Amino acid sequence: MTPTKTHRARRAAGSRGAAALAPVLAVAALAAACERGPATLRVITDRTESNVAPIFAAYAKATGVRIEPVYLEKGLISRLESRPTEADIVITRDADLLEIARTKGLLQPLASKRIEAVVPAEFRDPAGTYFSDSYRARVIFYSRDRVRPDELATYEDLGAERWKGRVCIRSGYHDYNLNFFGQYLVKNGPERTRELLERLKANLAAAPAGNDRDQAKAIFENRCDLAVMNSYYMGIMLSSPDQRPWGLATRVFFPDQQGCGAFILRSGLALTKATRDVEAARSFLEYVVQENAQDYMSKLTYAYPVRGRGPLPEITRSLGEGQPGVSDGSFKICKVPLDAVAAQRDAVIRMLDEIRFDQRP
Amino acid sequence: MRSDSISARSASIAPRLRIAALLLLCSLPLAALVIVGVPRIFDELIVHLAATVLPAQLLYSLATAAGAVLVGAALAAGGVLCGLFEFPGRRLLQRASLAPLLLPSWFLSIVVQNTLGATGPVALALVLGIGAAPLFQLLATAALRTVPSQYVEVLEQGGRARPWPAVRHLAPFAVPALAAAAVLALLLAWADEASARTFAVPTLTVGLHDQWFGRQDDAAGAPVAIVLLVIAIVPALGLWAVLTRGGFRDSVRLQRRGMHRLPLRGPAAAVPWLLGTPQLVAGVIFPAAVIGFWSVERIDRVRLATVGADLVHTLTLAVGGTLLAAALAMAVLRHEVAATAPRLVGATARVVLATFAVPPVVLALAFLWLLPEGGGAAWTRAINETPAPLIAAAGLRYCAVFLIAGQAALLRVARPHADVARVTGRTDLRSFLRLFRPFVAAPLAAAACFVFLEALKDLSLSLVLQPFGFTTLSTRLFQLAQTQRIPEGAPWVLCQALVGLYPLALLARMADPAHDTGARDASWGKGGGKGQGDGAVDR
Repeated sequence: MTPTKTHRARRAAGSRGAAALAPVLAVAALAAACERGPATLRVITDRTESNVAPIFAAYAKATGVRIEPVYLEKGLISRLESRPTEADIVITRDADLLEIARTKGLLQPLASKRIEAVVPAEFRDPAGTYFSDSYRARVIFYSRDRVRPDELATYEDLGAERWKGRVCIRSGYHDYNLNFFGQYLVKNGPERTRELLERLKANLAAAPAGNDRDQAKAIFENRCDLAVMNSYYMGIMLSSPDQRPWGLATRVFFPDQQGCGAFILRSGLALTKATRDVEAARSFLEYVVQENAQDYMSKLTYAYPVRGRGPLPEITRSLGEGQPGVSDGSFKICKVPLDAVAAQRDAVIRMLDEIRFDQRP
Repeated sequence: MRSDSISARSASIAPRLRIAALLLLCSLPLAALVIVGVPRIFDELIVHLAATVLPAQLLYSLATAAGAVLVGAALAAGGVLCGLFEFPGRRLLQRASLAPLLLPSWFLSIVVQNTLGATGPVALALVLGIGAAPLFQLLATAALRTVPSQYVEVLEQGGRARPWPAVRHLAPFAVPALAAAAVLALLLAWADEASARTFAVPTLTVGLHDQWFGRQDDAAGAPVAIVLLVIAIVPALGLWAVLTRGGFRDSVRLQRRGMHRLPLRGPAAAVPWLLGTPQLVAGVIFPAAVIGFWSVERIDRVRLATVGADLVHTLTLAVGGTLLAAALAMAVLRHEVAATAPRLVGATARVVLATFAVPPVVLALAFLWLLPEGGGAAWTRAINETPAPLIAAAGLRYCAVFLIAGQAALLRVARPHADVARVTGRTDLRSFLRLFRPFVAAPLAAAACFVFLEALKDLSLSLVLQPFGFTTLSTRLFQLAQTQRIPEGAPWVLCQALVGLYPLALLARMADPAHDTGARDASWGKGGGKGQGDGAVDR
């Protein structure tokens, strides 16, 4: 080979080597950039940023430990299964997802006497791997102008003949409704649950669509009179200039106060199995159940704190006003074990499939 | 002698190994889906779904996808006529008609649903059609570059410069391109979930999400994903078959770079505007007005800082995804022209197209399956903590666009060029570009602009694969939309649209038949054989 060719060959080989190394170096550089500092906790959550980011900021300010979140609208369990070491803490809007995570072996025991002491048993997993810091009721929002509260009593009223074509709800497959229907199934059995779903579907004003607040908007626009929503949306809507008219057009009814009580949706927090800094992660979980954190959370999200009867926002206390058995933010809760609900998820989905719940009525 | 034969054998094995490795890489997500889903196909679950929700979901999917294609083709009429005729305001109409590429379909759906209260399959088809119309316009306009100038001059002299007679005579040149656009539009509509959910249309993709994330069981959704894929794969692979067959080749005659447009005068000049106005109003003026109105009160320093941070992440995804998609496609194309392992190359191309037929959320989940942390192995963690999986998923998804553009461009390759490639058997990038750059540069550049715009708007992949601290413009916008704070998202969508303006302008310029892209005049040589035309060469 001539010297010129040798030089060219070496240059070509060098180029090829550089091209091969470039992606490796890029990944390494990016990984180094993403490497977390010593005082950082990673949180994976399906809750909305506006609900949890202020609590993360408050914790960081109080302790100097930075919280780095990733907000996953969907696929949280799949991601946790695939990347069990990615996050230290998992926070879900519904604790039954954590029950699923627990059964898949993705969590580790909390081992926190503090949490056990302050969080009531109905808000803790019996195996001690997750707990709730707040809850909200799955209630009936009704038109302030067109419906009287004495026309409502139970969840079954959603299927009453008088409300034909006047009920709105979001997709039956959304976590909130899967949890709600699952609790109903645990308490009332499959036949009654199917009957509720069929009658509810028959009464729908339109195919299930949008989110909970879209249902309140539908009441405001006179497209329906009743809607199934979470209680805290009243406070959230009244606090938003754009959504305030929807809140003012509706009132909240807590169903079944003479019976089992209203079903509640419980948020969930847990340590992932491969938490790198267990102490720091546990410290954050214990922080969220402190009194001041619970007060802050209830003012921020209008949800009910799990810890006792601290001062609730005025809006939360006024929900269900005038309804017998409901006063000052206190209402009867139908208690369903956390682990029992997750086990019903498949059965609920099957029922929804069989009656084609999300298709046009 | 012996060392020569060994090195010759090595030289022929190395490209095959490379293309085999490429095939393996591109097949992994589909293989993961098949491995997870196929066993469940025989499960009771799929029987249950087939007996309950699947038939209606299939019907809705087919109807809305077909509707989106028809609406897209109809709305593109004005833009396509811009490629045929010259009239006052042609350039404005041509470029403005492409503007819907700047806006994510799902966001337009939310805007339409919230402001007009529209729901149902008709609204869904309309919105998806608005997004698909630019595809028809781009591909048809590019195809019209092949119209011989002499042909157009004959039409003009024969008094057939009026819209309808001219369209009737010139349309056959654009039919294959329109068919390709229809397939792409169909696949994009097929994979949509966010818009369908906004309009409360229970399509197969919506059902897939419901089963997958409702049951929180990867295997539960996989059979539905396979059903989706099996149906979508037919048009996807059909498109590839059309592009590589001799019959399609025969319809492509590149005679001149720029097409001589027919002048439209008098009342006839209003026809393209009349046809193009619905697209302008629905896809450009209405969303621009709404977003502009929302933006006025909501641009402040704090939001701009957040928008800026999200923009950096978005650009990382868009640029990385585009480059990776281009690299993968080039790797396939250069082996194709060199005719090394044609079966492997063909298989790779088909796998890439099949991947495009898969809904993006399925691709994202497949990447989760493929990159497990496996007990905390350092290299998987290193990768998963970066946007690399997200960029890889985007690159793989959009590689099909580059592949289609490149393959269509290679149809114009003259015989001598193809022969040189085959004889040398060189598959390196430098040789490929030296020989074929004049043919593929423009189409691949156009594909790059289109892919960049799509990656800029990506939502499904980002929602599942985003690493920590990597919020993009779309995921932030989606968060705000989920909490009914849609007007607050205006700065984010405005940023997305502004960033997309430059590539859109490039795309419009490249798609303009009058634009000189530097492509050499070429044709198949004279003589017999399939795929060879009449051989007229414009010198």
